[in-house]
Amino acid sequence: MSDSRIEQRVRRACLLALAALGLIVWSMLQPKPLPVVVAMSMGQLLGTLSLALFAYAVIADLRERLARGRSGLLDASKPEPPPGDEGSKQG
Amino acid sequence: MLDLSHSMTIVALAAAAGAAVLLVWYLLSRPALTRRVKLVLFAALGPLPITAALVGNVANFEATKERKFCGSCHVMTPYAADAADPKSETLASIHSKNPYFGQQSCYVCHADYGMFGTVMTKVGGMGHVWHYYTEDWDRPGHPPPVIHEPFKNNTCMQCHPQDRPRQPLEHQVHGRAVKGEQVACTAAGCHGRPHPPARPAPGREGARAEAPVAP
Repeated sequence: MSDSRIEQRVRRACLLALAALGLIVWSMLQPKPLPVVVAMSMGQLLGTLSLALFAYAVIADLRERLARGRSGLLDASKPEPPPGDEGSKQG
Repeated sequence: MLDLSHSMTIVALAAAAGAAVLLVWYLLSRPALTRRVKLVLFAALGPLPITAALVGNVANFEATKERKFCGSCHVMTPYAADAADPKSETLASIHSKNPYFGQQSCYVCHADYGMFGTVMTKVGGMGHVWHYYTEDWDRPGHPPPVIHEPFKNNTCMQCHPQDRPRQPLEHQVHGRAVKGEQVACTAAGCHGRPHPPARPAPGREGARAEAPVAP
């Protein structure tokens, strides 16, 4: 997963969390049946989804970094060509 | 002085505000996802909203016990207003004047008791919310709200046990029938209606002069 996609998921998680927080605050400021029921169902669902999305993005980012690290190690372990090789190819 | 419910509301709002500030900061400034930013986002998406949700849930549960919450559905307003009326002499009003019932008089009398009483009360309350929002209560001829099952004498006997000595003669005579739910405490001739009879909503006078026993 590319960095931009990871950031996009994190941004979506933030937006979901803001929506969930909005519902929770609505129920606190206006404790009536509808706000309370919506906050305790939709609010909880959106909040849980946002945390799950964030965790997914962070895990994907970690995997990406680990994969990059491994490929970097593999590159470093390859034997470098002897210095004379370049000259012989050019000649 | 702030009561527990208000204190919890403030804690929940503070946690929600803290999380919202961090989230808006991230969305507007769009910093790179460094370890520090991730930790900030974790706080804004994990502990702070979870605190807001958990404390908010408890505060909401407490708020749902308040009489003004019950009265916020307009079909319940006459009952809540009567219970809050200090001049009224209905059972609901008399009990609401007692500090033990106070602002939670609807809940104290209408809650189910027992191990899962609170949960069952909330499940029943969800049914009320469903009916309130899915039915046209202002439609002429729509019956007023009624409780989903007969009021149990056992609820009254939480505070007025019948096995105390020196019971009034009526209680002694009808004790077995009262305990067996064959005679209601709120029957006419005993303690009477707990609430005033339901009146037709404005604009539909004559639709129903006398209504079934209210909750």
